[in-house]
Amino acid sequence: MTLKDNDLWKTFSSVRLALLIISLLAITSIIGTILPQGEPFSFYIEKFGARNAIIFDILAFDDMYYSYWFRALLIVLCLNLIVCTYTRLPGTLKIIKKDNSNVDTRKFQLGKDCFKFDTTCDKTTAVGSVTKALEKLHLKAKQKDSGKEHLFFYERGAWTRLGAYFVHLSILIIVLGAIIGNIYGFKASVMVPEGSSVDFVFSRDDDNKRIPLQFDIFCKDFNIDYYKDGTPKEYKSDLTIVEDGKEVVKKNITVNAPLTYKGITFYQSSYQQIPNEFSVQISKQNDKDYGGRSSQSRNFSTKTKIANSWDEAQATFKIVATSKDGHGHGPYEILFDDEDKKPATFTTNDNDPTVIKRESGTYTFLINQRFATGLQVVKDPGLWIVYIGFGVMLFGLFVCFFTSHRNIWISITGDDMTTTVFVGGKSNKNLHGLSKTVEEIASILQSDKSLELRRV
Amino acid sequence: MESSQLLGITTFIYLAATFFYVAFAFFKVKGLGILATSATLLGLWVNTTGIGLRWMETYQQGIGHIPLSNMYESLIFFALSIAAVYLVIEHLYKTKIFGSFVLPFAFIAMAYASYSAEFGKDVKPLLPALQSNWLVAHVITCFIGYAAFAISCGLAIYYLAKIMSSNNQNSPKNEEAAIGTVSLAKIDDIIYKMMIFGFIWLTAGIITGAIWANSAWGTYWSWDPKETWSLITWFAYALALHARYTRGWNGTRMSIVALVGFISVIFTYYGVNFLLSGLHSYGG
Repeated sequence: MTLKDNDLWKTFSSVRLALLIISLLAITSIIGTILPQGEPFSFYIEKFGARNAIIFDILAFDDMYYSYWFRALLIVLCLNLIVCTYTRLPGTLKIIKKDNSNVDTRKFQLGKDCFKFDTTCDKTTAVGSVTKALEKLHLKAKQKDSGKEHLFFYERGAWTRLGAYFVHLSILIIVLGAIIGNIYGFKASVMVPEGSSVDFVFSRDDDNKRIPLQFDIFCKDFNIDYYKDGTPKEYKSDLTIVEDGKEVVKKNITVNAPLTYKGITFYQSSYQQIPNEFSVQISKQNDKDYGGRSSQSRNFSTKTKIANSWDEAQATFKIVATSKDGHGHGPYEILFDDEDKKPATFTTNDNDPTVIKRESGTYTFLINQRFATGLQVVKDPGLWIVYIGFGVMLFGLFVCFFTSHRNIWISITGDDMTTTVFVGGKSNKNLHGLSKTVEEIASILQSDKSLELRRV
Repeated sequence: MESSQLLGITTFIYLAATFFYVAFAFFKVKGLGILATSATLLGLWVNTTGIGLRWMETYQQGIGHIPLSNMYESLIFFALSIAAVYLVIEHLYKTKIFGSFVLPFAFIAMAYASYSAEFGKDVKPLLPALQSNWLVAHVITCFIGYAAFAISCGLAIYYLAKIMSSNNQNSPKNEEAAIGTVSLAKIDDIIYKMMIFGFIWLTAGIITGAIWANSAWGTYWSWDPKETWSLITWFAYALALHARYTRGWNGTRMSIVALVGFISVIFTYYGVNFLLSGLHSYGG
């Protein structure tokens, strides 16, 4: 018993199986769009009752797209594609390679795509006219002369019969890319407080496993921009990659503009306020001359109720209170003093430069709630394979539906009395286009005065 | 004049076009056909101007972006795509008989956009996740696909209506008698071609969506309900194309598939946004 007689092989090489599997994939996929996915078991008990929850658990409906049965369906579909390709491709290649010039044009049925003409001209004149007509239409045809018959044969797009194979191959390429991404890549996340760096991330797949990075990722700053109506316009993190103590990459990432370094991509995904941590920048315009410098500034990282001093300017400040709602952001109440020794309190807000006029000079005070930026960290070595798959799929679909394998024969036969010119074509698709071309050739020949064709 | 007024007018133009096409189908008066096509062209023009004006309005409010960012704007673009693709078909096949089954889709989309209270019509700034050039590619590819599927559905309804009204249950191959100006076989062929056309654009839409998702969230596929439903729709049409190619499905059976496929499209487009929750919740 050969492989091809095996029942299982036969099943896997059938389109019927493909139709069945695609139907099953389509229908079962609905479940996961209705039933919330990835919730804890208690959620399903509460919402659907214990009995249903147990059924869901057994059938893995709570995580169905990653369940064994759903993956099994995908594997069967892939095997089906492979076996179908294996069994059908040789036949298709044979058709592609076949020399189609050896046909008996007399067996063609005259009609839309086949014309026959008679003329009293001799064969040589007819061959000349046909050559001219084909040149006019930019159709490069092969010629054969058997003595009895002079044949022009034009063939185009034999390879386009592979269109469906490209589409099927693309699905396998995408699946391969996804598998490679799954095995050799990771999806992780990490929170990086402003002014700090991390050299590890937390896996999102395996119980928050720590994944070390080969470099440090430093977040200098995180910012939210708002539209006038108060909706968020942009989340932006100022990131620097530090490797072996050297800054290697610096980039402001936003939601649609991630940073990639050594195959690992950092996406802006969330943010967090760090409770009771603030960054403060004070600068001073000196009215008096302090050693030639007219302005100076310093950054602080501080908490509430802690006295900070700026020795150079002999200034001190303390965050006395934050907003009344207890969320730890502005408006802030700040106690300020400097060499004038006249303590003063003022109110300021996040990212709102406040000018303080003192006898010794003018200060600008800028306070910000300290944030941590939430980064999605992804390594996916299979991504480019998936993208190639996308490209192959679009190319394959285009070939499938917009190109065709076209053959056109022009045969000239004759005796001493009459010469017969036959124009005919065949195409696997786009029959309309073929008819048009055949008609074009026929009409050029008909309008050729030297030929005087009569349609048969 | 504001864009919403223009788009409101578009609704009535599409309604008038529908009316003219129906009248043409009944009375077979050439003038009515010309009127119907002119109305559709006018509707398409006003629709396009409306979108252009809305685009300008976003710039006047300092939040300039192409108006393809929510349910209202997508419905308007959907109507435009239907009218545009339909006019191409009318031109290619030289028949106005399909209009009365296609233009209602453009009208319903516009009417729903203009009169539904379920979603806002104001120009809104773009959320950070939507600020990407992929937005344009994704929305346009998807909606050209949806428009093609809508037209295949409209033609399928026409086909089924014809089959039911005549007692002739023959397969389209035997049915060569012209109905109106188009044979059943021709309708069947156009339904199939629209499915192919839609399928290619839907594929491009899913792919551009995947690439966009990867650039925004770091994952090209996350089994989000919208993604999953687009895949279900893709499977449905893939099935139809295979069934036709390998098992010769056509006629009534293919028309029913076109209907079912379009229901899946509607669920992908509308149902997911309003009945399910997920990442793709910008529509509301």
